[in-house]
Amino acid sequence: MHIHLSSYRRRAGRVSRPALSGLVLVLASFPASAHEFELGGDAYDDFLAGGAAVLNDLPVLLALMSTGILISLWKRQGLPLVWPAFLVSVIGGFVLAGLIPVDPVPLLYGAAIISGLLAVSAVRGTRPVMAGIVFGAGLMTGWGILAGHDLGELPSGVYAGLFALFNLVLAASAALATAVLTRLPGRWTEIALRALASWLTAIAIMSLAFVLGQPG
Amino acid sequence: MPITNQITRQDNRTSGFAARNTHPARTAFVALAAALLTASPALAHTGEGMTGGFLSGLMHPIFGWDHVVAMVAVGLWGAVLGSPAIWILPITFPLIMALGAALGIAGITVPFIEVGIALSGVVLGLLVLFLVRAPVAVAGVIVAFFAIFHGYAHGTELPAAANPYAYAVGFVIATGLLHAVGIAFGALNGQPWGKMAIRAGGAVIALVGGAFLTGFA
Repeated sequence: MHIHLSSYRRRAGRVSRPALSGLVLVLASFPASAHEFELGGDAYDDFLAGGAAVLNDLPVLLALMSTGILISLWKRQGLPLVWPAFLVSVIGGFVLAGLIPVDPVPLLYGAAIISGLLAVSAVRGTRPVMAGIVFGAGLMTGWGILAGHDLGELPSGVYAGLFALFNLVLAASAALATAVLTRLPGRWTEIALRALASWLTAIAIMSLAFVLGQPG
Repeated sequence: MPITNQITRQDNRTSGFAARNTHPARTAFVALAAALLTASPALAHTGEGMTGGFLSGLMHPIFGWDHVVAMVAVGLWGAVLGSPAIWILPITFPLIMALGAALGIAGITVPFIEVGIALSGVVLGLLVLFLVRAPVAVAGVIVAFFAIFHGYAHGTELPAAANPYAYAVGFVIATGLLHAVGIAFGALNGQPWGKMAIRAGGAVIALVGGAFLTGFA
């Protein structure tokens, strides 16, 4: 059962305005909190700090893993086709974080849940559509992980570490999914990956509930 | 009597039984209604004794028989229904379960949690026992309904000292693995004796659920 995006495109125009208004309200309603980085060392330490921030950020990991699975379900060699969009979106997210302050919670968990659901559904669209999905994932996660930090506030090593690990997690997830699909061809492998995506989505939903339930 | 006739008679009895399953189902539901009227709340969840983290989350479904039987039953019933239910049900359950957990974490009151969990074993077990072939959408709704109760229980019983993220990872993985056990068991469907084994599994699941529902477990 695959979901084709043409029907989504037809419905998208009818819901875009209320969805945008809702999005603004959601983004503005949560208290902002910046991701903390352990700085004070040399450029290499900054790079590691940036990379560690990605590995310690559960919703970012969930979003990138789900996106990687989605891309490999779309095409076995799909990542190179949409990677440029991801690269641009992550940088765009970093820039937006410094310009437009928002709370990271809805961005990051929204990215994790949406990308997870798309992977569960094994959405298969055209290349521009899939590039758009990847662009959205990169933008939301890049924006969210640096939310609360002004543009240029952090050392360049941190940005490099973040950028490197964003791509590493996405590439590793897509590569593993492709490897599994290639070595174990068959419907069941795809179903197993979609089930894995459902687990990632479930973890994201629960983690969001934990975050929202915490005081302060 | 020739063996072929005997085999045919067995098949007729089996298909006849399946075709007339409203009668034993009616009896089962009457018994169930009686049990519900007299049942004490199933208190399978104490929320004590675990210190949290990934292992806590992993162990929570596995050490709760009321959880185990229901999650195995989801995979088993999916296997009985065949494609696409065989994968839609085990995908639906964790997602809706997470929503149920979110309700529990948020402190929103959902009544009759223990009854709902125990009932899930009874209902899903009976669905397997009688090889009920429901449409995928109906099966999904049934599974989703019970998933809320299981998720709510997991969410509210998070040990105070637990790392909630690791706990979530643990019990989601445990849930998925239990579904896989049910699906693997359902693969016996292709064996000549497989249907009987699957139905026996459904009976055991329903009995365990009934034991929790009536307070015997």
